[in-house]
Parts: sequence; C-alpha cells; structure tokens
Amino acid sequence: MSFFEGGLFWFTEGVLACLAIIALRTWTQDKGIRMPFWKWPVVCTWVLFLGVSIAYVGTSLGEGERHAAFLGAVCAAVIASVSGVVVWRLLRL
Amino acid sequence: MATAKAVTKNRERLLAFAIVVSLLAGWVVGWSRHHSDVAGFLQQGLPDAVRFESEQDDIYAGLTDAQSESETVGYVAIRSAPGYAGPVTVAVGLDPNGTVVNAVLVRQTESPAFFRKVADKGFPGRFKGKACSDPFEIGDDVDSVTGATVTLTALTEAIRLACSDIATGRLGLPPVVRPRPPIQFGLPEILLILLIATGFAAHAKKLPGGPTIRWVVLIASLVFVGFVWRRPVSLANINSLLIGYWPGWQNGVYWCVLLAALLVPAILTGKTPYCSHICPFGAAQEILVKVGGSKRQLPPKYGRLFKILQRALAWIAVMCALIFRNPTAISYEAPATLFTFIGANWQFVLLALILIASLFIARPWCNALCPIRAVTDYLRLLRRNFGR
Amino acid sequence: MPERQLRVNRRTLIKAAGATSAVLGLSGLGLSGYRAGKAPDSYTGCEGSQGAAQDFDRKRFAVDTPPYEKVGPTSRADGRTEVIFSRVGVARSAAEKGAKIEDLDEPFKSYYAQHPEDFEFDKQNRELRRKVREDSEENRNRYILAEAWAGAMGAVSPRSIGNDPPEVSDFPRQGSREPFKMKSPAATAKLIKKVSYEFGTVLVGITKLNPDWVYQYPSSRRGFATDEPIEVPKHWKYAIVVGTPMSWDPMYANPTYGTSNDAYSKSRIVAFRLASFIKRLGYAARPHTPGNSYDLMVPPIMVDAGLGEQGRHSVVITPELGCNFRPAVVTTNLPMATDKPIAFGVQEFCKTCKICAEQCPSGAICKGDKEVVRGYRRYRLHSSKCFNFWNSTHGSMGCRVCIAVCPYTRKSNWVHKTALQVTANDPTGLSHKMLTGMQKRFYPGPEPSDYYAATLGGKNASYREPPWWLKTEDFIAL
Repeated sequence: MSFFEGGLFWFTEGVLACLAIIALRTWTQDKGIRMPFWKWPVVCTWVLFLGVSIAYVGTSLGEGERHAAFLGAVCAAVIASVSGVVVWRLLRL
Repeated sequence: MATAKAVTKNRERLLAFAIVVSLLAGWVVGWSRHHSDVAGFLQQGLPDAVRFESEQDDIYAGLTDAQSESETVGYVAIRSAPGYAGPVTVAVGLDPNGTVVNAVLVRQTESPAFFRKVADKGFPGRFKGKACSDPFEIGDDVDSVTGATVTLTALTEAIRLACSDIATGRLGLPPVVRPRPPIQFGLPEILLILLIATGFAAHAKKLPGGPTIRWVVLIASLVFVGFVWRRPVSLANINSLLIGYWPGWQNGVYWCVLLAALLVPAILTGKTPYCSHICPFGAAQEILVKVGGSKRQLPPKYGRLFKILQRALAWIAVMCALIFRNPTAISYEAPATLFTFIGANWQFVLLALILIASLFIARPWCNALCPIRAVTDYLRLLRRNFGR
Repeated sequence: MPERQLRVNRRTLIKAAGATSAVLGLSGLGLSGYRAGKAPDSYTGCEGSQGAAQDFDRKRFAVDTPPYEKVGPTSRADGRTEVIFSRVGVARSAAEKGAKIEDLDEPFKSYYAQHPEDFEFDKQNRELRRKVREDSEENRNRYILAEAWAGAMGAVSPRSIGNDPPEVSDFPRQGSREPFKMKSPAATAKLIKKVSYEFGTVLVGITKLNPDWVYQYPSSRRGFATDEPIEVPKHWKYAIVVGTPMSWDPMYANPTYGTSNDAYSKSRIVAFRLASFIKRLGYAARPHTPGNSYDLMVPPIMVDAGLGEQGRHSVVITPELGCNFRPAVVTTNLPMATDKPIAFGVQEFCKTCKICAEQCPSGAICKGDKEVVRGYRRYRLHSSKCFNFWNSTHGSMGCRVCIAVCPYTRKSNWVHKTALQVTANDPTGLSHKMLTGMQKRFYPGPEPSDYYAATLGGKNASYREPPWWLKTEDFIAL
C-alpha cells in the first residue's frame, strides 16, 4: 500500500487543512475582513470544489483518459474562476 | 481638418471596395475549383460518352466522339441538396429516354457514421435504372435507411433535382409535380420570433422598463437559443449564404428569422439590436461581468489592436469558406463550443479564456473576436460610404 | 455577572468538545485498526478471494420482482436456431453450395424463412474473415501479442461435462455419497458464496431457476437428444451465478486487442470447482459455462440472482464491474437461501443513454424501445449483425465494444463510484441525462465505422489504446 492510500496521508491532509484554516483566519483578521459563521462553509465549499477538481484531473490522467482530464481541467478552471469571484465578493461584504 | 476627414473617407471607401473585390475573387476561385474536378464524375455518370460539352445550368451533354456533329448519348447534371452537415453533391447521368444510367457521389461532408449507413445500403448506385418521372419518395420508391434519414433525404433530393432539371431542360419531358415539403414551423420558431420582437421593441425604447425587458429577453435567449436549441447565429450561416448554400427546409424558417434579425437592421439602420438584446453569448458575458462586478472596457490601445485582429480573422475565415466552398473551413466560434460542448481542445481553451475574461471586462468576445460583429461592422462601413 | 457566566459556558463548551473529539478520535483509531486487520488488502497475494469486490449495497436496491417485464404467454429459446453459433454453420455451408432457404433442413428452414435477413448476414461471415486477412502485413502483425495472449488465456480449461444425460452426469458417482443433511439454507448459501470467492469468482448470486430460461431445444451436445425438446430436470432447482471480469486494459482496447478468453477460462474453472464441491456434499450440480456450453440463457438468471440488470446491449450490467463480467452458472438441488433481484436505475438509464447502440459498429444494438421477445419485454439484439462484425476485425475474435463503452463499465475509483451512487439513488433521472452527456463528451470513442478492418473500409480502430504489454511493435522485431 503506497503512502497516498494510507491513513497517514489523510492524517497529513487533515493537519494541512487545519493549518490552512488557521492561516485563513489570521489573514482575514489582518485584512479587516469580517468572518461571520456563514462565510466559513462558503470558503470551505469552494476549496473543496477545487480539491475535487484537481483530484478528478489526476484520476483521469491516472486512468489514461487524457481527454477527460483536459476537459475537466478547462471546465473546472471556468467554474472555479467564476465561483471564486463570487466568493471573493461575498467575503468583502 | 476637413481634408483629413476626406482622406479617411477615401481610405474607408477603398477598403470597403477592396473587401468586396476580394470576396468576389474568392467566390470565383472556389466556384472554379469546384467545377474543374468534375470530369471524372461526368465519365462515371455516363460511361458510354467519349467527351462532354459543358452547357448551361451545370448540365453536361455526353457525346459519342470528338466530331462536332456527333450524337448525344445523354446528359449529366451535378446537383446538391442540404444534408446534416453541408451539401450532398451528386453527378447523375440520364440517357435520352430519361432513365438514370448512373448516379455517383461527388462530394459530401456528412458525419462518416451517417454516410456509411447510406453507402452500406448501396446508395447512390441503387438509383441506377430509375425513371426521371419516378416520385423519388423515401419509403415509397426509395428504401429508407434507419438512423440516416436526413442524409438519405439530401442524397435523394439531389438526384431528383438532377433528373428533373435534365428532363425538363434537355429532354423536353413534362415536369413532375411533387408535394412541397412541409415547412418546419413550431414552438421554437414562434418563441424565437417573440423573443426578437420583444428585444427589438426594447431596443427601440418602445417599451416601458426597457432595461428589465432587455435582461429578460437576454436570459430567455441564453436558455432557449443557447442551451436548448443550441442554434445562435454563427459565421457559418453567413458563409453558407455567401457561397449560395441555402439552409435546408428542415431548419429554414428558424435560420431565416435569425439571420434577418441580425442583418436587416444592420443594413437598414446600421444598428445591431441582435447583439445587444438577443445574442445568447452576449447574455452569458453580461451575466459574468455582473458576477464580477466590473465596468471595465477593453483599454483603447488594445481595443484598436483587437478590432484589427477581429476583422482580419473574420475576413480570413470568410475567404477560406468561399475558396474551399465549406462554410466551416475555419471556425473559431466560442458560442458554438459553449452551447454544444463539442469542439477541438484549443476551442475549449479559447472559450475558457473568454468566459474568465468576461468576469473582468465587458463583452470581451464581442469586442475582440466575434466574427459576426466584424460582419456587421463591415455592413455599417458600406452603409456609411455608399448608403445614399 | 452575565459576562462571567458566558465565559464559564464557553470554557465548558470547549472542554466538552475537546473531550468528545478525544473519545471520537480514540475510538476511530480502534475502528481503523480493526479494519486494517480485516482488510482484504492484508491477504497478500489472495486479495481477490475475500469477496471484497462485491461491495455494492444490494439490500438497499433489492426488489421483489426482477427488473424485466413479463407480458403474456412465454416460450423458451430454441438453442439450435436462436443461438448464433448453432445456426451459423448451416448458413455458411448453404453459401458454399449456393443453397437457398427452401433447401435447408428443419429447424433452420423455418427459422431463416422467418428471419431471411439473418440468412443473408450469416452467409457472409466467412467472406468477411477472408477480407480481414487480406489486410496489409503491417496491420496484421500489430495483433501478434494480443492473439498470443488470448490464445494462452484459453489454453487451460476444465474437462467437458461429457454427453451423459443430467440424471447421470449431474450426480455424484453411483453409491459414492448420500447427500449430507445441511443445517440451514441460509448457512449453506453463505458457505457456497465463501467457497465461490475462494475458487476465484468476483461476484456470486443465488436464485431459484426459472424454467423459462432453459432452452427449448439444446444448443450443444451435453446429454440431451439434439432434436427433442429439453424437459427441465427436476433437480435443477437453484442456479448459482459466478463470474470474473476480463482484464481491464485490453478490454478497453476492444474490438482488436481484447479477448474473452481470460474471463471465460477463470469463470469456467470456478463453475467446475463449485459443481465438484457440491457433488462432494452429495448433491446434484451441473456447470453451464462459456464459450458455448450451456443448456440455458445466462443473462436473465444473473438478473434473478440479483447480480445486476440487463442493459440495452443485452449484457447484464452489474454495479461493481459494469458489464465487464463473464458469468457461468451451476444448476443444483442443494437447498440454499436465494438472493433478491436488484434495481439500481439501469432500466431508466439505458432508455436515454444509447451510447452502446451509437458506438456499435454493426448496428446490432437497437436504438428504439423494448419489444416483446418470448413473452418478456426486452431490447432486441440482432445477433447475426453482431456476429458478422466479429468476423470483420483483427485480433482474437469477438468485439466487446459495447462492454467497453458502457458508462457502467468503469474501473473502481472514487470518480466512477460516485457517479454510480448518484445514478442509483436519483429517482428523477436528471443525473442520468447529465452523466450521459458528460460520458459522451469526456470519454469519446472513435467513429463506429472506424472499428472495421482496413480492408473493410475501417481504420482498425480500438476504443482505447492497447496497454503497453500488448504493443507488438515494441517487443518483436519484424
């Protein structure tokens, strides 16, 4: 079993996610962005979408489906950009 | 100052004129290319003939020998009918009695899978021996091919046209009266006309609450013209028009209405309400710029550059279409990629770049690349300079 | 005062949350440790025999009546004529002698009189094969490794069951053993499934045998008189369905690089081992196995046994392997608890997807609606057209394109498992259309006509590139 399928991998992912969330908190405080509770799930969903998209591209490449990986990347880029702008404007509220 | 204006005016006229000339030249080149390579097909159409004499209307007389008063063994006509993806062209040879000697395929651009179905059943060779007075009706005297109806219809129609043109024009036979094909006029056509009428009224400021109505029409157009029917105006339609391929009766009304909505106001008034009030891809860009919350235009410096690029690209695309007599010889239209979700990889990248750019700049496609805008700009140029 | 109270509350809350997460975390460690100890992965070298691949929650999708529709009186298939392999030789020799349908013997005369187009198709296939062989040497050489691999996969096979009637050959040798009394049907079913996995099956299901699925007349010599109707033996009470997938990468490189032999051979071994096991318990058992050694039709039995649903292409779609599954059946009188059929959305999905029909190079898969065949509603498959394409392409014989292109035939990773769960749990059918659209655009195949051999107007195309180890040109100097 390789590292990427094991529990240690997901543990590391969890640690990294925690660090990212703490960093996001500090960053918003420095920027003077208010972070009421509803903004957290919005940001998390966006990051999750990004993560799933990257994973999809990776899985498709792994399967040998280059066309699917390419289209997936293009679609994800558009959706992530558009929703990213929306999330950004919501954050600035 | 006045002289500078005059110089610009002169330059504009020259440009407009040069473009007309180039398009005409392109058309002629395409037409002659198209007609220079038919010799082989003529021979296949009428194997007994020794030489062919070109006559009017794309009809060729097949003669027995090189003598000037040699006997006519029959006629070959080259005819096309619109299929799924462009015209299906055939050469049909008829003997003096009006019987099909042979029918051969000259050119087609159908999807290979569709055409294969028709070819597998022995078409167009199966038309051998038919009389030109036959009804040429699929399901009646022509066997149907499941799953390739449009292609077979086009093929049959082209052969029927060839037969009836030779029969009435050369053999003096009476024309065969056929029932006219039904005109496609349904919900899409009605809705489209409604959309266009409302959009135009809003554009002419004839309606209260114009901006709101404009948004309603734009969104409805995005949904229906864009994602449901997947048939916005494209340069391919204009190319078809220029080459002389008229849309098939299957989609005729829809295309005519849509093209008229674009071209008629541009010619008559120099305005393009289609672009601002109906275009589904315009709608998509406007929604995105609302999402992005930006009001920026292309910076004037790049704006000029992009205008030149936009018009040059459009000109190249039209010229290639004319020369190769293929409406989609060059196609870089992002709207088609968005709505059909079919395209080459670079077309998807282009689409993605435009959609992302739309978040930050107002209508980047319309201002920097859309070939339709280049066409209407050119119509406006013609109007301005040669209008009255 | 209220502020202080609030602070205490908050501190309590944090402490409580911390304690809860500690408990959760620790029990999580325990659970994951337990899973790690039990995981199929830990059975080094025998991961496959733990039944881990059959992981779809069938109970949630169990239905009381199988997901096919019975309409009016039913009849049984004639194995002599309705099985392409049984009839095709007759048409071939008729083609050689220039014989017409009227000249044939019964039952072929009446079958072909009813299906004259099948006669035309069946006569052609030898000629098609000859044309394929006319392809350039370079094109033919491309498949040397694929054909060697397919041949090797078919080289090992259990003995045939012989030509004794089932009353003799299905039972343990005379006097050798009285049937042991089993404790309970449920326990027996559990045992049979476990040993099936150990014998090498990937999926297994048990059902009562519906006699409608037994051929009216036999298709191969397995102890039945050739021209007498089969009377379903009384001891064929249950049917156990087992089976294995074809190797995934060559399967995606069909019709040319793939083979059925690998899965055929494995499934045959499982079925023969299982029959032997049951006989050693004193009960009757008869294997019905691929290539063409059956007294019955397997797909509907698979549906009855809850392994999957029959798709538009007539192949059964299983949740775990899609249609990449080559089944075998063991009929027996060993009393067992049976499985329920499952319905996980395939009937709805196949109505609109049609990818197999669009990609089928021979046009054998219908694009229309279901028809009534022998009293059951199903999609009609034109087996003559299908078999003609087998003869129109290079490689180890066969096509399997419909199996490769089916959106359900996907490897087990989170992308495809998620898609499967979405389609199975979506009652609206909205996701079906969306996923079909994505499937067509994200995973496109070649033009169907390109699958044909170059000498038949095609491009020797395969759905996907062959795996590296089947690329002849990389290994053999030609």
